[in-house]
Order: sequence, then C-alpha cells, then structure tokens
Amino acid sequence: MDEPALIHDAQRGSLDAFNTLVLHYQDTVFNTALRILGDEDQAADAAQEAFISAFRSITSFRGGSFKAWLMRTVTNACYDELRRKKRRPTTPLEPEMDDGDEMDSPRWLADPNFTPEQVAEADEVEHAIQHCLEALPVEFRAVVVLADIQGMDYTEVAASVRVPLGTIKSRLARARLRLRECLQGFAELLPASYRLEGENA
Amino acid sequence: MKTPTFRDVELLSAYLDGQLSQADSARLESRLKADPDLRAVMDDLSQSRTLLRKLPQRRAPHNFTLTPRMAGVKAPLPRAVPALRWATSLATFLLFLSMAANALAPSFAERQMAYGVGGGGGGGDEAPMMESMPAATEAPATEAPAFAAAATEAPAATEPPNLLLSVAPTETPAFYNDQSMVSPTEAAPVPDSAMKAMSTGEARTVEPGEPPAPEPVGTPVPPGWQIALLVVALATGGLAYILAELANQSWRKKVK
Repeated sequence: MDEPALIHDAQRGSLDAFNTLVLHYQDTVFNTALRILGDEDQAADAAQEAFISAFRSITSFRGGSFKAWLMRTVTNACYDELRRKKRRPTTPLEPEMDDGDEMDSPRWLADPNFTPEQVAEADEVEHAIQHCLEALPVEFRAVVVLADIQGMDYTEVAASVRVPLGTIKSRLARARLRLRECLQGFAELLPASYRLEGENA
Repeated sequence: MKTPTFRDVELLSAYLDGQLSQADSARLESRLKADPDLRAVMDDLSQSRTLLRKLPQRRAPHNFTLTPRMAGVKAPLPRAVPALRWATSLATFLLFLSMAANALAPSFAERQMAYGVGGGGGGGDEAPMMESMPAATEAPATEAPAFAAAATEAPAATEPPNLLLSVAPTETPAFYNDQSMVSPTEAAPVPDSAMKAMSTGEARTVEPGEPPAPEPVGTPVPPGWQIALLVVALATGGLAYILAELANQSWRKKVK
C-alpha cells in the first residue's frame, strides 16, 4: 500500500483512496475504540464517526504519522461517545443466564478456533483487563491503550492525545501501576499461562 | 535501600519502553541490581505491560468504508447549472427592483407636485381653491403635518371629507346627506372627480373643488419587461433544478 499516495489522493477528494486507507486501519481503529469504551457497539459507532471525521478533515493532515493523526480522531470520537454515555446512561446489553444473571464471558466474543477451555481462559483474562482499563481515568486509559495495546511510540502517542512527551511518560507509568494493582485482584482467576508471576518484559 | 518514589516508577516505565538515555539506563540498571524493591516494582510494571500486549486484537465487526453520502460527497453538477442559477438570481433581483421602482414612481411624482409645482403644499398657489373650499384645501391629505394644522384651524370642516374618503366606496355615509351635521361650506356639491375617487376606493384623497387629477405617471419599467424577467427567472430556475436532479439521479445509480 502506497500510503502517501493514497493520502494525497484522499486529500484531493478521492473516496476510493480514502476507503483503501480505511480498510488498512479499520481493525486498529476499532480495537482502540473498543479498549477505551469497553463496548463493541459503541466502539463501532466511534470508529465509523472517526473515519467520517477523518475524511472531512483530511486536508488538515500535514504529514508525519498518519496513524497518529487517525488515532487522534478516534480518541476524540471516543471522548464524545463517553460524554454522550454520561449524559444518557444505558443498560449494558449483556447476555443473561436462565436465572437472569449476566454471563461473565459473553459467548459472542468467542473465537471459533479456540477450544472451550481456551475461550474461557481468554475471555476471563480479557474481561479482567478490560475491567481494569475501565477503572482508569479516560486520559490515562487512552495513553495506555495507544502505547501498550497499539504499540505506538511515545512521540506518536503524544501527537495522538496532544499532550507533551513528559505527560505521556507520567501517565503511562501511573496507568501501568494502577493496572497492576487492579489485576492483582484477579490473580486467582487468571489461568496459568497468564499468571503475572515470573514473566519478563 | 528506600521505597521507590513515583519518579522511580516513571524511570522504570520509560526504561521498559527503551525511552531512557544510555547514561540514565546504566544508572538505573546499577540501582536495580542493588535494590530488590525497585526490582519488584519493575517486574510489576513489566507484567502489566506484557498482559496488555497479549490482549487479542479483534477484527472490525464490519467494514467502515464510507459511502459518498456518509462522506458528504455531492453529485458533480453539469456546468450549465451554476450559470442557470446565476441567471435566476439576476432575473429575480431585477424583477424585484423593477417592482420597487414602479411602486415608488407615483409617490415621487406626487411629491414633485406637492413640493415642486404646489410650492410646498398649502402655500400661496392654493389660494384660489380656498375661495370655494377654504377649510378643505387647508388640509392636503398627503401631508399629515399640514392636515394636523388644518384640523386645529377648522376641525368641523376638515373632518367630514376625510371620513368620507375612508369609508367603503359603495356606502354613502348617512352624515354625508345630513346637512345639519356639516358646516354650510361643506354643503356645496362634491365635485365628480372626488366622487370618482371615492367610488374607486383610492386611498389618495381628492378634495372637493380640486382641479382634475393629473394624468397617471408612467411606470419606469413597462409591465412587458417585468413579465419577461419573471419568465426568465422561472425558466432558468426550473431548468437548473431539472438538470441538478437528473445529475443526482444518475450519480446515485452509479455509486450504488
């Protein structure tokens, strides 16, 4: 994919060129939104909004990391979504057991290639991490999602959330510390392959 | 050995991401060797980081590609459409301008008569008329201040003509025939020109005894021109609309 050429064509109004970029980045954008918002439907809405907004303002992209620029659009869309959610809180659409209790690990998230045990294991870990992510203040959450889940470097994260590099370092350290504390509460739930003890960076 | 501070945590986090300078890294590594508490904190941070990086990447539930409608892209319009729209605007503007000019022309003419020919209204030129209708001629209806002055001078005489002119033309007010209600000077027969004005319902007051009204002032823009402008405005506007709609329809079929 010739990204600079596609960006150039998109800036001149080519929707086809922009849609090629969308196909390339849609998983990254959706995952970022999903980890910040913690809800698939809201994440899909935020991702779509982010791409619409990105197309409309693509002429403002003046070079540098396109991924960082796109991530800024998606984090803004997530902040908007969270503000909306705060104004109009809704009941989460979780599948329920026969007795009316919510299922801890929604089956719809399961990957068909995994064994039931692996699915259960992965679900529990993911559930625990998502729970701890959502316990973080949103500006910390965005930084940790971009740096640790999307693997962006500090400069890209700083460009995405528009804060100085020093603030990124500080927020990331604080977020990792809080996540560690939170995940310790799930230590017994975490399967052996995900145990925190004895892991190295 | 001391409890790690938040500054230490920041250094460790940056160290894990390879964001420290060589000198800072070397200094921290020597501290890590000597300080188990610091090492424990680094392990914690490292484990959190590893867990996050192990999170499965989900696939987008559907493609987020944009349709032209979502992107706000509009159908390319034929070149003639902007020109036609421009012509519509111009013709409409000229039409309103001509209507305004025609509407204002009579009042300009009247003003000319009142101030230019009549010498300022109620002036010396009206003296002959005053002989036959002294009270009435003191109050030219087009001039409110002059009317007010006349009303104070001769209220009984000025009122009836105005009342007469304000009523519906088909009705003959009772007090018009009631000779006892009006002053002797008004009992004089009302000239035909005044009656005609009343019967046509014109707002303009024609005073009894006034000389025949001047010929209506010619309109600056003939009605034929106005009709032509209206036709041009409607035709170009309609054509622009049709062309734009056709372009939209064919474009929608194309992008589906």
